[in-house]
Amino acid sequence: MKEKRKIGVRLLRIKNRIGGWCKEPYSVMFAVLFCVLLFLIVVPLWEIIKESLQLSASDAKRAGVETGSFSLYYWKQLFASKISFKMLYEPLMHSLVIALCVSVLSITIGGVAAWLMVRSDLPFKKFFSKAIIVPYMLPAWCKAMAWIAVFKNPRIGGSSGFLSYLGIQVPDWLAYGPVAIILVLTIHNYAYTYLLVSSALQSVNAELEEMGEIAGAGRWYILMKITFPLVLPSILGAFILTFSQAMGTFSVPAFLGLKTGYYTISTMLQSALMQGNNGMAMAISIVLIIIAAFNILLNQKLIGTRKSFVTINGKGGRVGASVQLGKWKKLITVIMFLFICAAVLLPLGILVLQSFMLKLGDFGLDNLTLHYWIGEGEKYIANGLPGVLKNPDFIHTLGNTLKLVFTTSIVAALCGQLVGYINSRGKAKWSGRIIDQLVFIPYLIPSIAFGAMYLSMFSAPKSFDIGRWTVEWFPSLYGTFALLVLVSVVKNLPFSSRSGTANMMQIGTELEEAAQVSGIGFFQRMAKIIFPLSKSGFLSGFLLIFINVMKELDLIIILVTPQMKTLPYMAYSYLTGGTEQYSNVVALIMFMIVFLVYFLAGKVSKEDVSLNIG
Amino acid sequence: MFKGKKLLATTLTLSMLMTTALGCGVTEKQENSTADTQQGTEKVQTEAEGEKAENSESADSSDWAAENKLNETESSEELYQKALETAGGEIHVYTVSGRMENVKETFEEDYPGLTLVVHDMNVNELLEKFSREYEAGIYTADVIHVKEQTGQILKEYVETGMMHNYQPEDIFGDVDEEYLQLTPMYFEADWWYYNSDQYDECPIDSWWDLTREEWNGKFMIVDPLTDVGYMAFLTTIVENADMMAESYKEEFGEDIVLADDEPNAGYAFLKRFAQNNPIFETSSNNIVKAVGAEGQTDAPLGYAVSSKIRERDQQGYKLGIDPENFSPACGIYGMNVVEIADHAPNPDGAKLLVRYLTGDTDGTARGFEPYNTLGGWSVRSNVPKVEGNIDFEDYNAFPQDFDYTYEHLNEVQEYWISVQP
Repeated sequence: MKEKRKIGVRLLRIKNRIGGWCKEPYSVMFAVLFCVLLFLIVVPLWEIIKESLQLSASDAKRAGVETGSFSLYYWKQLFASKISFKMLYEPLMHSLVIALCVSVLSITIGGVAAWLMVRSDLPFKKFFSKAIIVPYMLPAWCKAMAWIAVFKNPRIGGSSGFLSYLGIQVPDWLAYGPVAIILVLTIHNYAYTYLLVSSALQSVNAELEEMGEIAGAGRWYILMKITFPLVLPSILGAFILTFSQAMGTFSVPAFLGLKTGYYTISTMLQSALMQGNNGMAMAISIVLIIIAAFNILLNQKLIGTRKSFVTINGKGGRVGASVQLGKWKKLITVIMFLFICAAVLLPLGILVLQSFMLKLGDFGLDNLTLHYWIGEGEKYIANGLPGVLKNPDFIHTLGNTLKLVFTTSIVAALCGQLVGYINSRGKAKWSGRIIDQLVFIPYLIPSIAFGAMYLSMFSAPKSFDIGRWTVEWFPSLYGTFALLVLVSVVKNLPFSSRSGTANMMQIGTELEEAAQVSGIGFFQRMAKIIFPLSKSGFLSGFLLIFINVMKELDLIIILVTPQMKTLPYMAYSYLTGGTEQYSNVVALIMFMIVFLVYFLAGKVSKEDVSLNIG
Repeated sequence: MFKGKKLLATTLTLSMLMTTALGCGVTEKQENSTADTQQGTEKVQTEAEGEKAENSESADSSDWAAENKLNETESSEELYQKALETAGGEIHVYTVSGRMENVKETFEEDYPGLTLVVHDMNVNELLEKFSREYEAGIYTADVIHVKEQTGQILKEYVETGMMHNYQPEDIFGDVDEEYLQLTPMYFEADWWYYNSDQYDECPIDSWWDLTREEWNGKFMIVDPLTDVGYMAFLTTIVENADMMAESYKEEFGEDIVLADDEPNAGYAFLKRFAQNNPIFETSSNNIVKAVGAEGQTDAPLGYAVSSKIRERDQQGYKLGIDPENFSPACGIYGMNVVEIADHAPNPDGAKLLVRYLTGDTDGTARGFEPYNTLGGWSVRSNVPKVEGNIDFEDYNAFPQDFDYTYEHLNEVQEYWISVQP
């Protein structure tokens, strides 16, 4: 009798626990999100693993077996063959060195800049805050081209670089190879840190710092012991993004590394893809994925031990006290100006200049022309191609691009906030951690492979049979706009969720709890508390995605039909077609759109956000 | 409040979707496992059936080809009328060439009512897209235009029935059999370019010149690791190791002495060539630009595709070539082929387009015009010759066997990677 009652109590307890779990909105959200991510991320990942273990049609024919036979061939070749060193270990070393240097440099530059912009009394803030984000708005390949335009030396022939034109000899090690790659990638990537850290600094309550001051702590001490730890989650988030981006990026190492035979893991991966050697490519991407997973794990350990910091809470709260720079003000301002000139104005200027140059490499005044912008077709220039603005194809492409970019960034930023909520509220739980890791996977899968996976996953409708009925629960998305949006949203989840998490981490649970105690429902809590408070994070998430998708090429190239092509595609095909000037014009137009949206976002949001956004 | 409702709605829909999805997954699994345990024999049966299905699929593909008269000769006018009535008069071409846009213009003028939709991609994207669509049973492409150098198109697409040759008698009747494994549209090849401002004549006349110290780090090629066509070329050098050995003797006056890691003169060349520090580029375009830019005193040499010689006249690049005096041969052909996709939605339109692109009966259809340039050749005798072009027969090509290339490409690639400096 007693025994029975015990069991009854236990069952009741389990029932209550399950019931409670179901009633809790967090759990429901988690369950839904988990399933969706499983479907959108784990399935493609599984496909990739499978492909690395199956012989491709060519290799199967060579080996005399059936296509798709199980084989460790690619893994053996990668890890234990006579080419392993050249194929994997050496490129991997190169990549790690590059990624590490780029991360350290980017975080230093981005972090310092963010602090100066948010916390100090630096003059010309308005100008700086806009200029500093500019390099990120240009596709990476533009910056690599700009680098070559300046530093090119006669080794690789062709029209002379700007410095050579002036008679300055540029050594090979500066013009091409690791140093060039690291510097260009740093310029490309420091914006992640800048955006994430400045948004975090924005929301740090100045009282915390003031309290330190009252307690008699020195400025440096406050910076190191109060401010820095508070923004550490954002910095680590930025580190992951930067590191993985530097590991996975292809165009810059290809432009600047190949010429001296300097391979990285990403150029090796791209080579395999370019050759249609998919099995090998997938094996290399898995190596990349594992490295990144390790990176995330490390990051979680770090944040985990440091705990999180709630910086937006219900009490008081006035943001941003200025730190007086005092006698350093002038020097710092000059350094900032120099940096902006070198990293921002120079590449942009070169791009603009080249778009006006009839022939590249001739820096004389009589070589300037508006042809590539508004010229009518002339037979002797590029087969009679008219200037970009006179090309009817351009308007159409522009329309497509805007539609795709706006839809994707709004959807992605919203999803990012949701994921961020789960992440931050579930940081201590296994559930939050799982979502955090799942969401990051798409970032590590090479874009072109990801696109291919989605093409096969969604080209046929998904259905199942119940008795005689066939239920189609997912329609075929082949050739639709929805598929482009879907793939772009999922691929950019790491970005949106990073900014969402960084954002949500800082919103104290006590605000929610207070509302909960007053009997306000979950959805109203979301609408009235979480969303308004996360507005700034939402906007910066939106902008990150907007800029990313605007530049996206590899991901959607396999999914687009000619009627749906986008501006980056146009710019890139001009570039590979050997008409750089046209390509520059399109790239500049892309840049102007991004800049305009960025500017407007700053105008629309209220003062507290505008500091960080523009 | 509105926001909340919307969110609620989304969440609900999503969760419903996912529950149904999960539910279906579970039931399926159960069914499978019972089937597995109960009847092992049935499994064998299904497998046999699967095989049968596969065979009938290829039969299906040849049936399709016969049904759509791919082995007959019909006139363009006849095909035009039929094409208008199929698939809304749309014809989709997957191509690796930007010039197809020019073809679109003239095609739609010459055949009013038809629309040519051009999908311009690089070769891997093209093949990836095409195969994935094909596997999923989605037939979009009518005509595929790619460059064949490795034997891949032949072995994996045409021989498997995913693509079909269409070689009407009035166009291909007098073309040499050796080029008709696939349907050739035009040929390109590769040769060495030099800067004609700097040199009066080509400073090299043999592949072995490029292993000499004086050219160390002063010549450019397209990275064979990014463009498989060049790996195919390196494979052909190995295939013709005897020619390379002979050429070595001609160049240096003595027999080649092979090191331990050089199995033959072909491999020996690959190793010595790689270790003489070539500058890798990603495209032929970049190479002719680098070689031919004006005002250089120390321009590199560059190995690039023959059709880029037209940039000499169009862009004013200072480009010189001398393909007729190069030992033992210049390179291999890049055969641009036009194949009809299996189950093309508009088969008559596809046939019409192939005819148009290859010049039609008399060789003058405007479809071939954009491709009839310096450094490109039709295999047909009645297509108008381009002024200043060397004759197709005068291009000195290595003998290439697609079977050999296809079989040995990986080996050669491994060797090439292993001997990089």
